[in-house]
Amino acid sequence: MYSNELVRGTLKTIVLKLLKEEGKMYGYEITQKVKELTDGKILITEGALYPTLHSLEAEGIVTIETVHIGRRVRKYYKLTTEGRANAKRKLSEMADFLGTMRILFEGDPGILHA
Amino acid sequence: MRNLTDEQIDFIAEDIRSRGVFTQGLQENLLDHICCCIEQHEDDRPFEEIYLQTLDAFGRSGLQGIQDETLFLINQPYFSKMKKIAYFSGTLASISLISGALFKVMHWPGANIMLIVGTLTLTFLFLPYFFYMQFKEQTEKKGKIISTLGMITAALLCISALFKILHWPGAAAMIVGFTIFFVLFIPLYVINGMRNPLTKISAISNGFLFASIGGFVMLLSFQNPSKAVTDSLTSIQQKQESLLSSMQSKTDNVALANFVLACDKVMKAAPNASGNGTLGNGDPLDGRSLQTINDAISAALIQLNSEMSADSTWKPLTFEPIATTLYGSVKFQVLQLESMAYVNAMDK
Repeated sequence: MYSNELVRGTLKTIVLKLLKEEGKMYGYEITQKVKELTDGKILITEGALYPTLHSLEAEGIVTIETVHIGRRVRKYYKLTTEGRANAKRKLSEMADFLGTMRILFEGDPGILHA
Repeated sequence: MRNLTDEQIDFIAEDIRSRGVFTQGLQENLLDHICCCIEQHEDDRPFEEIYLQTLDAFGRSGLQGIQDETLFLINQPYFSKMKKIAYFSGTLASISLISGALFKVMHWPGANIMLIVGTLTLTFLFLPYFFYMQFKEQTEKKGKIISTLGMITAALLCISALFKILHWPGAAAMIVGFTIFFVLFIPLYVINGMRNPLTKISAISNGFLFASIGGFVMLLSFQNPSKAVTDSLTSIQQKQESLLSSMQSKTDNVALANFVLACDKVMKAAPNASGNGTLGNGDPLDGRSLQTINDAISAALIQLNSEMSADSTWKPLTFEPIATTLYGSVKFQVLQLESMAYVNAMDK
């Protein structure tokens, strides 16, 4: 599992990417999906996920769809129109960032082997 | 995969609430999430054990920590905007209040406007933002109530001070209102702060500080002119009346009678204890009407002196001591400075 620091800064982008691909997802589903996709290397904690989801909702990037399951309510999150544009920007920024990181770290073999 | 009974779901929902999560959206999310986690367990361990184990995964700050983080993220953009407004209005209020107080003490013009602007900015911009930020930080309902109470108390204090300083009507009622809120606020604030070991000491010392400030405010606001002042006013007034009546009885001299009449008019126009006086004809007593009376007194005085000049025992009267005696009592509070200005203008 990666350090909290690394995951924290990318959490929003991860959520946006998943919602863009899957359409709508609920909180627990997101944590499981990330765990599955990354072979358990990235574990999203509830403590980080829900604050992010709620703030995305407050910013109008995602909207919720509630489904009643017995006595409890399941809240599915999906991107709004504005959210889709936002997700696109964030994802291309992330792609660019990954490229830059590669240049930064692969350019210096010393770091890779350290 | 195990199934949760309705009772178990209700138990979890209630437990989430009792652990301090009051935001409904988050309550629902956490309930569903915890239920999903528990349902993943295949073993036969009792529900309670699995539930506690699931909660452990939420980390040290627990459910409430998630809520704090959520509220912080949601409110962050508002906080920075509000902070700017609070800093700006706080600066404006402090500058205009301090310079207003200085101008007021020095009797320079513009003091009242500064005090009004300062108090209004303080009460309607700075205080609400300041308390809103405090309010948002409170996660408990009790804390929110106390913040609101503190806000009302502080606003009442500012507004009643303004009304009192500018002699506007209603100040006394507002100070009574302030006292009531103040007496309610202090014990609640201290008791609530003491329950948390982190804020215990600051709550107690702040409580003492607030209490002493409030005590001074009440002491100053319910102050009446001291007994020595009212006594000396009464004795001056009595002296004037006896002087005038003795002058009146002594002579049938027309000039003297005119002079006495003019002086009498000033005395009758004297402001009563509660406010400004009025002239006999109902006109308010102000600088302008005083000037008219001053003119009458001076004219009567010149006439009196010239007519009495034949009498060798007569010592000519001058305007200044008369005016000083008359206005010393009559214009005690509000009009004293104004009348002095007119007396000075007269001398020039």
